[in-house]
Amino acid sequence: MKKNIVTLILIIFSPLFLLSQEHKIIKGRVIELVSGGKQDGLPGVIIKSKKSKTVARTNVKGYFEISIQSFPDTLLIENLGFNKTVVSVSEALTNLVIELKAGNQLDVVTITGKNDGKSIDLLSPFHIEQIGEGELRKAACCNLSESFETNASVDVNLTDAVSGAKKIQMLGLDGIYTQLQWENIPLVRGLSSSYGLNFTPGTWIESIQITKGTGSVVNGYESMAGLINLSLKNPSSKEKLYVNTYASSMGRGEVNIHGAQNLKNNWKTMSFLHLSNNFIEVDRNKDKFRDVPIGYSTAFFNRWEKIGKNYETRFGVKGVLADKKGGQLSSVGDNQMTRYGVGLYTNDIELFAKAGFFMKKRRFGSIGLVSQAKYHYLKNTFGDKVYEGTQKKYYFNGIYSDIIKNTNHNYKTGLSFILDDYNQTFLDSNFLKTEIVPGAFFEYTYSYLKKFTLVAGIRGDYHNMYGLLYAPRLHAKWNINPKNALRFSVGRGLRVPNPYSDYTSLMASSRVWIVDPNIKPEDAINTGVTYTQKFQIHDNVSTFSVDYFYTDFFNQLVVDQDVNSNEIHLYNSNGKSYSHSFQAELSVSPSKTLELRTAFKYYDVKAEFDGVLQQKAFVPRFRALFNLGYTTRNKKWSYDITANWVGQKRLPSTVTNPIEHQRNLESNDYWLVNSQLTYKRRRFSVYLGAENILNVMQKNAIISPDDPFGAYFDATQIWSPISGVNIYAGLHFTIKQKKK
Amino acid sequence: MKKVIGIIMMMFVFQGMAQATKKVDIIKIKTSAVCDMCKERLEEELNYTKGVVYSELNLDNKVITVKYKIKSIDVNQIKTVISMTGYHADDMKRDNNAFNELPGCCRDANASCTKK
Repeated sequence: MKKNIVTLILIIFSPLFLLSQEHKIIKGRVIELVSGGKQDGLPGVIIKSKKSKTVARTNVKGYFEISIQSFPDTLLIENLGFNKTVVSVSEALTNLVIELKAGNQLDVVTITGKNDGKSIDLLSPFHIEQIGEGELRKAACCNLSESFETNASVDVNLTDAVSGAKKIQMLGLDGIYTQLQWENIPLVRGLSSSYGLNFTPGTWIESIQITKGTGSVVNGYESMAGLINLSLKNPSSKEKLYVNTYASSMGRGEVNIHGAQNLKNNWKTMSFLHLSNNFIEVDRNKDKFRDVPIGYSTAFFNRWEKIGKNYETRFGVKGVLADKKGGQLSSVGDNQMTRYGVGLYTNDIELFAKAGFFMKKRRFGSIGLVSQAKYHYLKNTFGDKVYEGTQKKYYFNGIYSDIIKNTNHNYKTGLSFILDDYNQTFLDSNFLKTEIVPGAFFEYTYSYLKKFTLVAGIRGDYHNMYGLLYAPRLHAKWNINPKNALRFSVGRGLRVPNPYSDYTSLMASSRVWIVDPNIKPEDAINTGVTYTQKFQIHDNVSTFSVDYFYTDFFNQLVVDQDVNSNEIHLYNSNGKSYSHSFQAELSVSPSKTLELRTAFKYYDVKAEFDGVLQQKAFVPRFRALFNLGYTTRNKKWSYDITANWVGQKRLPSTVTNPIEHQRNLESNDYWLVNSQLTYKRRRFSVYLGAENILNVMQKNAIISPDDPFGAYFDATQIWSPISGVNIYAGLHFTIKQKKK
Repeated sequence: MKKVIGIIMMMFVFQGMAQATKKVDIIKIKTSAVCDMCKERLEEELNYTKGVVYSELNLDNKVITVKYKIKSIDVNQIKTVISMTGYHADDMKRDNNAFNELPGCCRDANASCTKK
């Protein structure tokens, strides 16, 4: 009570206090612990006070003085190469010691903040959207391809009517133009590019970072439309033991188990196991085809890490074994000559190792080494078409990062090496290919008071089949004020296509594949402008952002389904091929419990097909997204609903088919609505959700389903969901680690 | 006129009754929480305590707002929960064993503390 009275008096007289009061002063020192327990003062560190809006800088020995108007206040200490630090101060101090810890420099895409939901970092020179665990939990099912369903920048579509697999699109371009990696290690590449997204279980993912446009040259030359990096859960994450179960009305059951352990000498380990099975044949659209294949998919992952004072090391092993069987219902009979069967068998194992060192003599110098060895085998059967392939891969990336004179000038340079050994068989043809690509890169970053950042990078790679490939890139960011960010990026992206693995799902038809034997690397320039503005409604941060990206292909491997409905042509684009993409997004928190998000997108994606400039098939011109999230104040209940509106898409011409097998030249627009309710307790949470609540189903999704070996069969002309509403329920059980 | 006075009287009576049967109350308690990790811990601990409707910690002034059911829990018990989590609650000192179990950054207000 006494305190309350004092507070009251303070409040009443505070204006007087403000008039008479002199600024209070905090004196202190910013230090860094170096080897041997010694303390080094850090010079030139900027210290900002949150409320008083004062700024100070440390002197040569790390000492500083900052004036504060009123207590309590918060000091914000940021220094390149160190973790952002916040210190609360409640009184004037003369000997405040602030220890900065060296930031995690191994990760090339550095994220300076973590958020439960979705956020865009204003400080990074790259336009990076972060999807945190809170956002990932909104769509409980099931794997990476489904993790983007509440995100506007990444579109998710079904690949075909028989595999049940999903693929992504960014900037209106197929997912193959987006570079995918996990913790800066290549993830979906080469043979796994069609179905690879489905092999990373959703529960393994801690957060996703989405960069629109070309990424940093440090990560390679392949990102054209975007760069997606996953942070998987690691032994330093919160979980000690985690169990998740899931069951859906489509007949899918899943179990995920993770466990982390701290061992002697700072070693930590974590293991993951994923089991998924589709038990029941479902055929909602009554075409006598399974809407999703039955069969199993398993994945395991074991990782180790040790983080020392000046070094860190991580290594582990990851593997997938999946065998799914789709196609016609078993009631059709099991004669392989008459029943159209789909088999998707995948076997993938990878070993990875990472190491990072801080240089002893140079405080800001660090070395990061990443290496990966991978074996991928697949055998995909679509009726009488068999595609079989093996990919052996080795990847190495070594990065040295340091400053030039002061922390305003930073650079990263290094060497990379990729070996890809492919052995593929499609029908009767065998393709052997070995790609050896050594490369070097240099990236310079200039930052001016955190307000302006410029990243200029170049890399050159020598490809054993295509010679020198070089990719210059430029990114710039300007914070006009601390609440906004204007970004500009331009860069070249290159990619060596692999037609059979890039477009595997298109094998689910009777179309004859006609592939240009002389395929050249795909080559594009991507230019983009983004503007992000943050504002507050009652202490809750809201974000508005607009972006425009233009991708212009010098060469693209064009997939042409318009020549003849019995054929699919893949050839180098000799003429124009481009994509214009515009997106506006508004994310508002009107209250502590409510979050609303709405996005609008416009795509203009065209290419010259046989000399005629046409809109690309299966890409809608307009899309919109609405999301509402509600969480009770005690965070026990949360409810989420997402509505996606997908506009009309151009469909490939089917005029050469008999009239009963012809389709419209344009699809209908449709709404896809998903919703989920979660109830949380201390150790467990249960969820109940529904996908495609409006029960949208593409009518006659498969062309000529009664004669799957006939000339007109085609299960690849998919533009909307094919199997109606899916209801699911599940459980998370977590035991948290005591100490972090 | 009499009717009006009667109605007003009735309203007072009702209000009095409502006050007598008031089921929930809101209290603000000053804590020693320093970072987002503390916030998460404290809020979670309280939210799953029987009788607590919700709890929200404001890191700027370290005050936690707790709405609770009068029948199930009282202020002293709420403060005990905060103390047993390892934080001061107004005049109640933190439990030292719990405090020592806290992650490093939650333990020292003057030491560096990474905000999420």
